[in-house]
Amino acid sequence: MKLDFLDEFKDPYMQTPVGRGVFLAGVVLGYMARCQVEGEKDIASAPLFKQLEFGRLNMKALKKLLARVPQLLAAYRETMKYSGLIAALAAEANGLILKGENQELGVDGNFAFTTGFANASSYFWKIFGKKDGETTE
Amino acid sequence: MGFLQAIWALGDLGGGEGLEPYLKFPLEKEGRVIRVYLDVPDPEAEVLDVRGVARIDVAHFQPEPEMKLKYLYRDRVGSASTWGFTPIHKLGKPKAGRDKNREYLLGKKGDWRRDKDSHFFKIRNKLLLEYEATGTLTSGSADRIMAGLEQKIEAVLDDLDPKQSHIVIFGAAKGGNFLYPGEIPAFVAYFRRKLAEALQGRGCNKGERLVCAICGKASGDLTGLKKVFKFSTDDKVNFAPGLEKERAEASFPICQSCLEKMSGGREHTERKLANASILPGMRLWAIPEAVGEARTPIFTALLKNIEANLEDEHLQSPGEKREERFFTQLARQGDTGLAFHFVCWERNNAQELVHLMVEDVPPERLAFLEARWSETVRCLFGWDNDLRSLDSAIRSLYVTLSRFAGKSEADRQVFRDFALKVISRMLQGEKLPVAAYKKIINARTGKLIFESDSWSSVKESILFAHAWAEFMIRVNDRGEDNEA
Repeated sequence: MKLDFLDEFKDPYMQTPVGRGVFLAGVVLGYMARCQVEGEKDIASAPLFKQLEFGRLNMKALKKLLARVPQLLAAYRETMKYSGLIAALAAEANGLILKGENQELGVDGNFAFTTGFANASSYFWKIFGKKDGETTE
Repeated sequence: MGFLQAIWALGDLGGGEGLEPYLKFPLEKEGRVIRVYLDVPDPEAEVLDVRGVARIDVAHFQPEPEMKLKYLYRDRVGSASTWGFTPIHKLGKPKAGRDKNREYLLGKKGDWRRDKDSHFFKIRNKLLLEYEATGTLTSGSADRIMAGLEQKIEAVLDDLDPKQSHIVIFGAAKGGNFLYPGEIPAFVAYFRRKLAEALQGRGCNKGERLVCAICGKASGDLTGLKKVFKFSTDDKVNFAPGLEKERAEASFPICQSCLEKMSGGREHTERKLANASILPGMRLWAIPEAVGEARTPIFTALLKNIEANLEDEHLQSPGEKREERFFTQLARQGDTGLAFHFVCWERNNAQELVHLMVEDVPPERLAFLEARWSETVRCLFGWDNDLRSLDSAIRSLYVTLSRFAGKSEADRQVFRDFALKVISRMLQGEKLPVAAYKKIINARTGKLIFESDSWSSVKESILFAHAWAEFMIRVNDRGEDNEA
């Protein structure tokens, strides 16, 4: 898991463990939402996507969603490739968020989550070593 | 003084002499000119005795500097005025097809004498009649011209191009050639008379000892700055007491000589130092000023260099490159003792609305901003891209915020103002509002997603939004080695 690209971000929030955790949570959930549907263009109809309130997400809801990741991976076992990588990234995100001692998401958290979610596939493969575009499909 | 001083200095350096500083081109870039060859026995006469129209043809608009004197054009004093400085009528973009164009010019039923919207009606009543009334044309000339126009206009209806702006220009036939208004003494004399009337102050300063606000010399013939800049208004009495109409000339009086230089400077800026593509619908001026004395060989050489660079880019790839690299070119003028003044304004009918005015921006600051943007782009988009110029940065902020604004015109206006606020702070070297920016983006992400037709454009918008937040943080995080 290569997370050193996060060091390049100058946003102070992204330098905190919780900031990184929230960003990675965005990547995990964005990648999973993408896997729930046929192609990325249908992402808005993904069940996971529909449960998100962009810009107004709170920490409790985010933690709840992350907690459901193993359950979702089991449910989508047939269609969701790389479930091991997804689980590992979700665990990493969870671990980092827990270091934040119940810090709320707020403006910075929501922004970081959205940025991670929207471009989840390219960040996912940045983290796991493949180049942009070299995706699961 | 900053901006005004810089405009004055530009006019002083090369605004030309005589009428030239007061002239501008009737069209901005390209277009077509419908030339009406008036049949006059003696084009040199003081009063032109027009017998009719010898010929009409269509030519391409020529933006070469020497043509400015020939077109002899200056904007009307107001959109409702019944006269112009020049025998030129602006047609705008014509229609496609012969019949539609006939209708466009002669009115729906061909009854242009009663149809106030027809161009022929406007040509007669808002342009030619004044020439008769002031004795530039002999009595009855306007009607003879209109009769000739009606007869001969058919010949050019097929040559009108609906994609280009057109003007109708009245000149004289001489040995088969076309004499432009600037080559006809009667039209030049008319222009001079009208110019003198328009520039004259209202005489409110009689008995008062006023001095020119720019050069400081006392003069009996002062006028107001609004003759050069429409955005210099004098009707905001509650905003600045002392700006009552009666004392308009006293609020920022300038003498005739300075007025001439200011007019020349503005025209110079419009022609060589303006950009209309970075912020849609708006014009952005970048006016250089030398720290200290302006009329130095170094400043003159630098100015020529900046203009030549902008022009070179323009020549390499028509229209595109120059527009893309406007700020980059300015940023390269570091360590030269130059400062730039930026004015961003929008034309709204006869009004000129200023949205942003930032004075004294050193090129080093532009270079600093460009370097921070370049870093951001490398971090988020990778090495291989052509987004690294400061121009791309500014354009991307505007585009990104517009996308988040959605389809509502009112929302777009608010987001545009926010983009201008950010750009203005950037140029002034102030801290950028990162938290407010993130809040705006957060509040609109849901709307963007659900209003957008494609996920790829949502992804791109959010990536650019992220890039801008990163850029703002980098700009705010100025190290000690950075310029203040």
